[in-house]
Amino acid sequence: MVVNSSSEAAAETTIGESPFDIETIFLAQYGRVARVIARVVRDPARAEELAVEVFLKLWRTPKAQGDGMDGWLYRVAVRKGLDELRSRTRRTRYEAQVGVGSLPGPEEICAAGEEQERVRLVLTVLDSRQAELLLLRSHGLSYDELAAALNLNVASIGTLLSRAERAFRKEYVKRYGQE
Amino acid sequence: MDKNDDRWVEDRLATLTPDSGWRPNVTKGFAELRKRANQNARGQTWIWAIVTMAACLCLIALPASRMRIRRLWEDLFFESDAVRVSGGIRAVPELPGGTGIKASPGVSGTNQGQQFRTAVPDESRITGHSETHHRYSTQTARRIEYIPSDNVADYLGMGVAMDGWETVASLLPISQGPMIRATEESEPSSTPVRTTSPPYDPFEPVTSKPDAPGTPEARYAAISLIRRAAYSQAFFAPIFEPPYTHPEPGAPYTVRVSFAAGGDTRDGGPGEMEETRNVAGARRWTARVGSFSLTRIIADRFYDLGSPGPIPIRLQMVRWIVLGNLEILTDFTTDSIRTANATLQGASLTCILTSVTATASAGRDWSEKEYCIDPQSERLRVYSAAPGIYIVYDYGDSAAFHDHQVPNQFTVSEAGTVVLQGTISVKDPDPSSLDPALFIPTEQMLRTGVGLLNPMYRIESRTTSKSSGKLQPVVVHATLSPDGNVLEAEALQTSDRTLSQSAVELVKRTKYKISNFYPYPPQGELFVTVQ
Repeated sequence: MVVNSSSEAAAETTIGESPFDIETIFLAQYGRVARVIARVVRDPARAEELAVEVFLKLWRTPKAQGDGMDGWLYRVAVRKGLDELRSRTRRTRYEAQVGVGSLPGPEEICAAGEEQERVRLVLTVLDSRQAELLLLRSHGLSYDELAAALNLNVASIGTLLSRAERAFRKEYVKRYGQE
Repeated sequence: MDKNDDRWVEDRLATLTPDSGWRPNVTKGFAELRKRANQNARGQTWIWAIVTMAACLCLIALPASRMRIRRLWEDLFFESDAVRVSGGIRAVPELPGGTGIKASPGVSGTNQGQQFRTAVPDESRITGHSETHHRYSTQTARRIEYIPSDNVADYLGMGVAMDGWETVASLLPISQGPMIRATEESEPSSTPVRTTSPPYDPFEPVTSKPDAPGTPEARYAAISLIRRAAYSQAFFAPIFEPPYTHPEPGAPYTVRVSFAAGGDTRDGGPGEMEETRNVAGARRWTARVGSFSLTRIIADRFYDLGSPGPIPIRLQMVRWIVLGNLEILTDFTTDSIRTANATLQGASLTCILTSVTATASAGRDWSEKEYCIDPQSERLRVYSAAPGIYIVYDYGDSAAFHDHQVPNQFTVSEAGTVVLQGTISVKDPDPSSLDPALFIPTEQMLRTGVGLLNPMYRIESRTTSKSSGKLQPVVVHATLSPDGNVLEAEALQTSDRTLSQSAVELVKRTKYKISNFYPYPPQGELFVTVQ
């Protein structure tokens, strides 16, 4: 391949003068992203690992690096958390069925009875969009931010949120009764 | 929104709020991000390497793309249309059955790095090529098959390249086995058709139903018998020893043939043919039949003196009968093989019928070639390239030539009539009588003649007649000019004169194509089964 001086210069510009500065963005957003994930997964250390994966994905997704990056980060973070939660739930169920896997420790036995574990379990069986809406809303996002993060019409957020809450309550009551 | 739901859900989701004392470790997280980014980059490199390798394998697996890669490779690393042959080259003998360009007269020793044109044909004319390993005479060779992209009248070319001897590929004649397959694949009416059995022929030795060998061992035994018989009479065979990079021309010889040619052909009557090969592999061939005569020196090219124009069909047949290689006629790895017992002049024979298509017909099938061999002496007694044509070999008391058994007579019948008879004598030439000047062309011998190809086979599925709902095939034996025109043609079944004549006319009207990658203008011999 022939490389001339102008093509080398162009390559250098791409690497060194990129407007996308991952370090700055990471320092600014990492905490928030990790907290969104930590709401879904119980283990904070795991939440931090998944948050790193979210930024790795951001780094490799040029389309996400412009306007709307904050919303993109929230969306990917909450999906990452839900995927992890569903995966863990499936694994636990499978291990219980085939009788393999380690026995639950005292902490896990205690956690199983906690409210937050019930909430997480209900979230795993809800429609993904509804679970995302509920989690991000509970994280404090406004309707506008929710619409931006989930690519929805802001006018429909109220309706969708309402349906998601009803679905959540219905599923919760079905599983654990009215409290 | 239901305020109760809103509040109730909010309360529950609030339980998910992480411990207020937890602070994500940003420094550690960023270090992890850098580390993962580097790992992924390396992983992606591996993934790309694997994907590239898989893509290369896919390209290599496909004949068409493999051909293009090969061409590209040669374009990049070799001079255009040439292959540099590594290793030394000694006087290269012409391989049996062909008439190719060979080393200079009397050349011995080595010519390191000499260049030869490759056997790769014009890429635009082929859709791909495949390579298989093939046993050729006494050694293994690589066979290269080229699949044509042209119409049904085109042929599949085949060359045989000895290991390290790419040059040989361009020198060997096209063989017919792959051509049949190519023809059948490209025929519009490729679905099996019902045909009548070949009509009675008084020279057909097989009269009972042939049986397929029941075991691989029996099949191998049949193949081996053909090979031994074919090699036995191939007194001209070059000698190949591992590692096959220096084929020896074999023993010098002088073979003389006197023959009488008949039938409805251009040049008939008495004829003679003689060929002498010296120790260096150079040859001098003289022939005469009817009004045709030729003197040819076969060395680094053909040097001809004599009648211009095509070689008569009977002379082409004689040359092939005496100097052709029977063994390469069939692809023994995929052929259908059947055997039958027969008798000839009171002698018991084992007849082996081979075909490129599986057959279970009660008698001989149209597609089957036939080798009838004396199992005791392992001499080939009858060879039939197609129903209707039979070469009967006879052996005298002095048939031995070195380790070969050479027939001293042959008789060829077509459509139940003898059309060619000849006597053969082979002897060691007296070295003192071999004037080196006999193998050096004179100034009058600068004309390059045609090279004779091994017989080719073809099925022409253009229906000419139907009988009781079955097709009545007719085999037409023909010779082809280098540009694909039919020179001479004759029917091998003549019980229905009208049908035979129309089959011959059909073949004569067809313009054929012969692969153009020979270093000489090729003259072909063709058997067309018209149905």
